[in-house]
Amino acid sequence: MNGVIVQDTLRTNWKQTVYWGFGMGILGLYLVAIASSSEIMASYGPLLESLPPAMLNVIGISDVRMFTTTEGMISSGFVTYAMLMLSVYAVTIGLNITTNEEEDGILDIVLSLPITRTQVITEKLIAFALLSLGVIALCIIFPLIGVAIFNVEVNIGKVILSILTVYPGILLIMGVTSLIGTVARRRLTTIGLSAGFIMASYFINFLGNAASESFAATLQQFSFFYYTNGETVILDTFNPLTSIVLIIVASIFAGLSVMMFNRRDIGL
Amino acid sequence: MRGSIFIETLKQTWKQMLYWGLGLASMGLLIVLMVPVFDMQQMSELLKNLPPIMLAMIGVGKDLDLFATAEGFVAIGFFGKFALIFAVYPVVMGMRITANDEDDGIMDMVLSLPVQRAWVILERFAAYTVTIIGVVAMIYIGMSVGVAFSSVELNMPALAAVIIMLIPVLTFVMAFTMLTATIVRRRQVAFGIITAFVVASFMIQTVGAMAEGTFAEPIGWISFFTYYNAGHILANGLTATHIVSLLALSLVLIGLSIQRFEQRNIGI
Amino acid sequence: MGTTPIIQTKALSMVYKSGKTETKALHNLSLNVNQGEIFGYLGPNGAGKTTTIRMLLDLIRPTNGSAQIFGLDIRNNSVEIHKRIGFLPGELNLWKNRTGNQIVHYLASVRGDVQGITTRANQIADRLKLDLTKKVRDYSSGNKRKLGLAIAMMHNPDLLILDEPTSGLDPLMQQTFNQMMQEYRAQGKTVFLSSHVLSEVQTICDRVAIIRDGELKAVETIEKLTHVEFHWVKINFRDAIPSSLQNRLISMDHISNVEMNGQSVRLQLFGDFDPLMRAISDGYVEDLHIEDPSLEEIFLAFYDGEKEQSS
Repeated sequence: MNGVIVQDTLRTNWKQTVYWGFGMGILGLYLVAIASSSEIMASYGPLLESLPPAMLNVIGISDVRMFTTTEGMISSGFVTYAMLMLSVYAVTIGLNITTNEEEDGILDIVLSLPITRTQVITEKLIAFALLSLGVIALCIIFPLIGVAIFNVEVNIGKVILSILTVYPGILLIMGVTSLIGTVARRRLTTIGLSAGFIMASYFINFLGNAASESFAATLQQFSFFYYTNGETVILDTFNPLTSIVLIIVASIFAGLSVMMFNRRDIGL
Repeated sequence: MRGSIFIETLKQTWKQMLYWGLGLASMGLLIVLMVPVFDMQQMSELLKNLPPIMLAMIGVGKDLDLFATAEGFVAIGFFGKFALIFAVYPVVMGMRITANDEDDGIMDMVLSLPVQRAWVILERFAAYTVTIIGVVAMIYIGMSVGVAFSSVELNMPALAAVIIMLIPVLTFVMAFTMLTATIVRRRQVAFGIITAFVVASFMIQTVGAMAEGTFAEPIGWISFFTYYNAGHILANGLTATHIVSLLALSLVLIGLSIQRFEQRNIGI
Repeated sequence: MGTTPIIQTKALSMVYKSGKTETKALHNLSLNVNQGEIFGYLGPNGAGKTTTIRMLLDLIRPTNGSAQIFGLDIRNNSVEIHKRIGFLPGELNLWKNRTGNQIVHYLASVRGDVQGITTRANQIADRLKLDLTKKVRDYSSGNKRKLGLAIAMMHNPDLLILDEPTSGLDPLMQQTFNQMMQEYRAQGKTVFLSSHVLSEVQTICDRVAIIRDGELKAVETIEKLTHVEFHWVKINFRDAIPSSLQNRLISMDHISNVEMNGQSVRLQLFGDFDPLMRAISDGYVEDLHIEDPSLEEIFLAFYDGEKEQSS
C-alpha cells in the first residue's frame, strides 16, 4: 500500500473538512457564548436536583449536571445535535468511498491502474477517517476559542472528551454507508438506506430517553446516538470501552465493505 | 405540452414519497403508542416547578399545561425534536428541480424541448409540493392508525393543525434549496450551503429558546423553525400570518429562482 | 435546395470569464445554413463547435452578436424554435434508471403527439437495431448514441442539430445513419452536424464550415474542401528496401516526407499514384496502405493554398 490514494483523497477533500468543521465549530462557539451569559441556569440547580431522575429522563434530562454546568450545557446543546448533523457528513464521505465513483463511471479508470481493489477502498477509508478527525478537531477548537474569548469557567478536558465521543459515531456511519454502497451500488439507494439507519437510531435513542422505564431503554442501547452524546463524560461515567467498541464495529463494517467490493463486478 | 413535466416528475418521485412517508408515519405511530407510558398528571405537577428557561430548553416554553397532555407530548416531543429530520425531504427534492439534472448533464436535453425554463421549474416545484403534502398526509394517517389500534385518546383535529403547518414550512425549505441550487449550480456546493442554513436555523431556534435574556434571543426570527412551534400551534391553532409569510416568502424565492435560471447559462 | 437560411448567425461571439482570465470561445461567427442542405461544421477539439451549438439551442447566451433559426431569434423565440428542431448533444447524458421507452415517452409527452412520436421513435430504433426496453445504464456508449439519435429524430423536426452524431457507432450503423440523413434531405429538411472527423462529414454533407480557435476559417462545398490532392501512403516490402529504391523515392517529384523503417516506408504523395507504382514495381510489396489526410492537414493545405493563390 503506497498511500497515493490516501494523499489524493486528502488533497481533494480537505475543503469539505474545513467547511463542515468550521460550520459545526461556529455552532459550538455560539453555544459557549450563550452559556457564558446564562448564569441564570446555575441558580436553578437545587430545584432540578430535587426532581426524581425518572421524571428528568422523561423530559429529556438525564442528569441535572447536563444543564447546570457549562460543560454540561455544551454537551447537551451541541454534542447531541452535532452527532445528528455530522451523520450527514459521514454519509457523504461514505458515498465517496466507492459509490460515487462507480455511479459516475470513474471507477473503471481507477481499477485499471496497477492497484488492488483492497488498496483502493482501504486507503479511501483511512483518508476519510483522518479527514473526519479534522472536522472533530475544528469542532473542539472553536468552542475552546469561545471559552477563551468569553472567559468561561469550564472543565476543558470534559468538553474535549465529550466532543471526541462523536468521532466513533462518524466512523460507524461511514463504515455502514460504505458497506451499503458496495452492496447496493446505486447512490440514491445507499443514501436512502443510510438515512434510514440514522433516523431509526435517532428515534430509538429518543424513545429510550423519553421512556426510560420501558423496553425502549433496552432498545436504546442499539442506537449509536446513545454512546455519542458526551453525556457520560459530563457525568463522570464515561467508559472508553464503549468508544472502542464503536470503532471496532465501524471497522467490521468497513472490512465487510472491502470484502464485498473485492468480490463483485464493477459498473453493472 | 403543459403539465407533462409535472406528471413525469410525480411518476418518478412517488416511490420516494412513499418511503419517506411510511418511515415518518411509522415514527408517528410509535410515538402515539408510547403515550400510555407517561403519567401526564404527575408530569404536569412537576413541570410547574420548573423555571421558564428550563421549559424553553426542553421545548415546552410557556405551553406548560399543553405538554402535560397526550397531544402536547406528541406534538412537542415528536414534531419539535424531529423537525431537523423532516427538513431533509424538501432539501432532497429541491435539489432535484435543477441542480441534479444540470450536474448530470441532462439539463441540455430537457431544455432542448419546446418548454420555457420557467415552466420546468414551476412544474417540478408543483410536483414536489404535492409529494410533500403526501408525506405529511401519511404522517397524519400513521398517527391516526396508532390511535385507532390503541387505548390512546388523542385530539387528532388539534394535532392535524400541527401536522398541516409542516406543509408551508417544508415548502419554504424546498424553495430555498431550489434558489440556492439555481445560483450555485454545483450539487455538492449547493447541498453544503443548504445544510448549513437548515442546521443553523435549527440551532438558533433550539439554543435560542434556552437563551432568554441573552443576545441569542432576538435573532430567533431568522430561523424558519421559529415559525413551526408545535406547542404554540396546538394551543392556538394555525397562525394565518405565519402561513402567509412562509408561502409569500416561498413565492418570492420561486420568482427569484425562475429569474436566475432564465438569465444564466446552463452547464458551464 | 432552397435558399432561405434556416440558420443565420451574425457576428456571434462568446467570451468566458473566470476571475481575471478571459477565454474567447467564439469570435465573430457569421454563418448561413440553407434549407434542405446537410451542413457540416468541422473543427479540431476545442475549436468552438459545441459552444456554437449550445448557443443556437439557447443553453448559453452569446457575449455579442445574434442568431436566428427559421427567421426567429434564438433567445426570444426559443420555445417556438425547439418545437421544430431535434438535438443530439456531443456528450449525451440521460436518466440512467429509465428505459429508452420511458425517456421517449416522457420527451414525446412534452412535445405533444405522444402516439405519433413514440411510433416513429420505435421505427427509428428498429432501424438502428436498438432495444428501447433496456435501461440507459445498461446501454453501451454506441447504443446510448443511437437512443440520442432516435430522440432527436422521432418528432420529424425540420432541423436536426447533431453534435458528433456517429461517435461510437459501428461502421454498419454509420452507413445507416448516412442513409437516414440523405432521406432527411430528400424531404427538404435541414441537418446541421458538427464533427472533428472529416470522414464523418465527407459522405453526406453538401457544404462544410471550418472553425478553428473560435473563428470561422472557411465555408466551402465538400468537393472543394477534400480536393486536397495528397495522401499518406505506407508500403510494407517483403525484403529490406534497397538503397537505389530509397534514393529514387526521395528524389521523386510529388513525393515528400519520406520515412524509411527497415522494410517499410511512409511517404506523402501529391497527385497520381502511377509514378509511385512504377517506382516500387521492382520490389515485392506485401502491403499497401493509403491514409486520407487529417482534418488539420486538409485545413493547412487548403488554407495555405488559398494564401498562395491570393498572393
